[in-house]
Amino acid sequence: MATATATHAHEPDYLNSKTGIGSWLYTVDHKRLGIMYLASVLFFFAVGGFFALLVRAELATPGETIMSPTMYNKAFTLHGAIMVFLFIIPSIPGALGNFFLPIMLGAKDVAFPRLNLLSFYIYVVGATIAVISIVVNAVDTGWTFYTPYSTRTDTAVVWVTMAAFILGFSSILTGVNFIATVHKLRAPGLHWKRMPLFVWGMYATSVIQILATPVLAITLFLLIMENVLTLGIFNPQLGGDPVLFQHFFWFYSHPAVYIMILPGMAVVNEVLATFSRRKIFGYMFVAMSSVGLALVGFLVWGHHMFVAGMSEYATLVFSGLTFLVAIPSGVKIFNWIATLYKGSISFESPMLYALSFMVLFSIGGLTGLFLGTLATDVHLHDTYFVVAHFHYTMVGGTVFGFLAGLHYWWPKMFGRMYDENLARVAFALVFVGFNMTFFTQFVLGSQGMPRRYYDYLPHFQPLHGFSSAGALVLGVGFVVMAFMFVRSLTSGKKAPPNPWGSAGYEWATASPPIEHNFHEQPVMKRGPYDYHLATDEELFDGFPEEAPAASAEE
Amino acid sequence: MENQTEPSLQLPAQLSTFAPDVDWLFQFIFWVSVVFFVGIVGSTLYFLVKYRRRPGVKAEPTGHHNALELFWTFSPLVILFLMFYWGWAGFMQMAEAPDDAVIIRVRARQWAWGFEQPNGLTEDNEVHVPVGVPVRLVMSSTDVLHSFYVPDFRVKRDVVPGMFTSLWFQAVERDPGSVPDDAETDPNRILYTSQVYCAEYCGAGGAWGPNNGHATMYALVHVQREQDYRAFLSTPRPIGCPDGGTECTDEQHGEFLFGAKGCGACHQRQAGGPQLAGPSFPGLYGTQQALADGSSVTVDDDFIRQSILDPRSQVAQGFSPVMPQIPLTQPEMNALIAYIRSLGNQ
Ligand code: HEC
Ligand code: HEM
Ligand SMILES: [Cu+2]
Ligand SMILES: [Cu+2]
Repeated sequence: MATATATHAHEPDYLNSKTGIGSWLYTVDHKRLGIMYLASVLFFFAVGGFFALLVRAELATPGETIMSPTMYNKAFTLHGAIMVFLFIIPSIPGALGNFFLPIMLGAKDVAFPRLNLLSFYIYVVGATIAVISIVVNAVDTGWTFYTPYSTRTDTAVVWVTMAAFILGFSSILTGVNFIATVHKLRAPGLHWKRMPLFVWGMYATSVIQILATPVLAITLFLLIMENVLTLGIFNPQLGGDPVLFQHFFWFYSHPAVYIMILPGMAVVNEVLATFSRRKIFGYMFVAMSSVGLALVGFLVWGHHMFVAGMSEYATLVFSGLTFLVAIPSGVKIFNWIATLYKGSISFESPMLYALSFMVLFSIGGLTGLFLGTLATDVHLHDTYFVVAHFHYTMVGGTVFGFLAGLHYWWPKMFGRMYDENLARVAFALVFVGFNMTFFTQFVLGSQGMPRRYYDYLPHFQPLHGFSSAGALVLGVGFVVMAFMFVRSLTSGKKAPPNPWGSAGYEWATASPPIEHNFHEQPVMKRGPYDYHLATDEELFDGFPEEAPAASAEE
Repeated sequence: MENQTEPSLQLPAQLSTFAPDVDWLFQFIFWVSVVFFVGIVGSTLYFLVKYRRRPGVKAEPTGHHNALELFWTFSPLVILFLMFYWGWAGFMQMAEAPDDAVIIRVRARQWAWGFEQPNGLTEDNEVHVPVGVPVRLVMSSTDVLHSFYVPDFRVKRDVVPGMFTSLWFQAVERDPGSVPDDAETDPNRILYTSQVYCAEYCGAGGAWGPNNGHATMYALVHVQREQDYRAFLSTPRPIGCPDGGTECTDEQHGEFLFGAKGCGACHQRQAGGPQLAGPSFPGLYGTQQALADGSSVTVDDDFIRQSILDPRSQVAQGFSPVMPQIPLTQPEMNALIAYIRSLGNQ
């Protein structure tokens, strides 16, 4: 695709085109909204991480280490709820999706920019209510709000469920917006088979958000009604059915794990292609595997309830369907490996995170087999094995994918490079710390250590202690990373438009992009991974003014 | 299959007839995973080294290989089907208890387990079972969800208020032959003891120590030879005392029960100790208790009895009605009342 960045180099970028706090608060620019989401989700990641460290600190030794049992129950609940509802679900779609989906489509903005602003503010309202709930009386139900415990505890369940209810609408609106954008605003020449895989991933995510989130809304609404009006829906003492709540909850929350992981996979596609200079192998299979995951993901919620008192035949069906999920996940991994084959691979920090994603997500996926298998799940369900499994998928998968994307697109978003050496140090700490923390927990779990325990029997001490030490390393890694990014903002080198020499469409605009993304409507003449069709100018990783003369006349 | 009666690095000791089958399947999945993982990481590393960026060497454009795609899409199905099938077969075995199983009632509450043997004998937070005989637990909960989990037996089942759930197991001997077949019957002989956990989150009262919250909702399974178990059932149980003895006053028996029945999770018995989920007992007896409905009553024997028999009938002001209904025998009730009364004079 041809752009004429050089001749417009003086046009102000989106960060400088307007100034003043109002220009941010009322902005409908998808890029500024992306940045605002980014700031919010990073803030909540830090808060959730803080609670995680509290949890791990308490578990460093048996008996009381730093807090009371009731505090512990609040700490792990806040950790889980904040990480899920305020960090991970909005993270990649809200921050990176908002910023890059329109640019990758060659569009000026999303289809409904005002709706986009609205959905951000709904997120802010939901987040505020969640914070209020902590002040009122922090919940202690676990992020799953299982009844009848959640209707009996005197903590602020109504506040938190209200918050999650509201946050759901933000999610739905973002989904609607993305779907409309993908259908309506693709640049000329950008047909479906050329669409960047990041966009495919966002598209599949949006479909799940629209279809599944309303169920969460209904469930939480019923829960609020039960708490406020004492209706007997889930509470057996009022004639309700507690297992019904679990069905409702997982009917949303299982698809939600794909809302969490698909965006991570979507980022990895982009990073792998760029750093191996090669189109993703089996493009259509990879794209369709996202859609496949999105669909099969709706049919497996019962695997969270194998021992909950469901009929044996229901468990049969859910176990069988669960194994089908392994197929599209495997397809992605195999295609990524094949992408490396005969590539030209370099190892900057985004690539390190993307490659770690492949390794860690494989562990997360393979350990899922133990949990989908009925006989072994009976032993492993609700033990630390499950805690390790979902952290390998959600942190090893989504968070590593998010970090890959953040490092990858950072120069584009802020127009500044970061210290690559420091980034690698942070990467090493995060990778080692993560595995120390969570690999240990597989062993704890298979040895029989149940989850959500503020205390444990002495023979689990060595493994718990080691896991807590790992959490410390992990925490230090994140602090180094935060320092590295802040330093980049204050004193980073200016970033060229295409620092990684990528053929992706988003690199054709300036760094940071101008307000309308492109000077004129781009026309896509090749796919985003067609390195063999891209010109040297397109892949040139310096500043346009210094572009090689040979291709300058265009 | 042989039972491995010592824990391994990965799994607990195999002390039920299910355990060897479950573990075999676990190991099968484990080794399949190891093979896949080594394949994935190995080929990735190999490509990373072989195709690292070098000056003048360009990436080759990606081709199409539909046959390869179809191969790796569908071939894993074979292994997945095996896991699914064996998992299902094992699960069905766990689902259907043999008709001749010994049936034990289990009542779970925050945060204690009550067991009732077939002859009506009750036990708190411990249960005696015969070895080599199927045992079926029929479980219910008076308050919130719990989950009965014995890692050594590889069994787990949620305990759900408002319905009965059940599980069964057959314990095996730990060191076969350690007690000769013709050894004299002894109701107190225990072959070994396995740990019971609660595996479904159920809150905490605020105090540390056993049976004060989800994390410490422990119980013990004492496995006995069948004849010893039968003898245990028919021997009247001496009352429990704080020092482990069998002779003590009503107050002391009440003190023991206060711990065994899990009252200490919600009621403070130490003067000046932290406030827990329910009213603190030191100094309570004889005072006026304000109730949630605005009235007030004197804390006397009758009030205490009524509060324990039907906790919701007179809810103390400022507390949530979370006190479970705890089945007690008449002597136990009297002992507890005596104990709470004695705390009132502190
Ligand atoms: C799950 C927590 C919990 C457990 C376990 C528990 N209680 Fe309570 N109990 C409460 C709460 C909360 C109240 C106050 C509300 C009410 O009156 O129902 C209470 C009230 C009482 C009262 C009335 C005291 C007053 O001032 O109103 C008595 C007596 C009592 N409990 C005895 C016991 C005994 C004996 C046990 C053990 C067999 C026990 N409780 C176990 C939570 C618990
Ligand atoms: C980064 C993204 C993370 C996400 C999305 C996440 C998510 C979750 C969720 C959903 C739970 C379950 C809470 C519950 O059972 O109610 C949980 C539990 C837990 N998390 Fe995280 N987590 C993240 C990071 C971390 C980190 C970095 C640590 C370690 C320092 C950590 C440590 C724990 C522990 C120890 C538990 C178990 C609590 C318990 O069951 O008692 N998590 N996490
Ligand atoms: Cu699920
Ligand atoms: Cu519990």
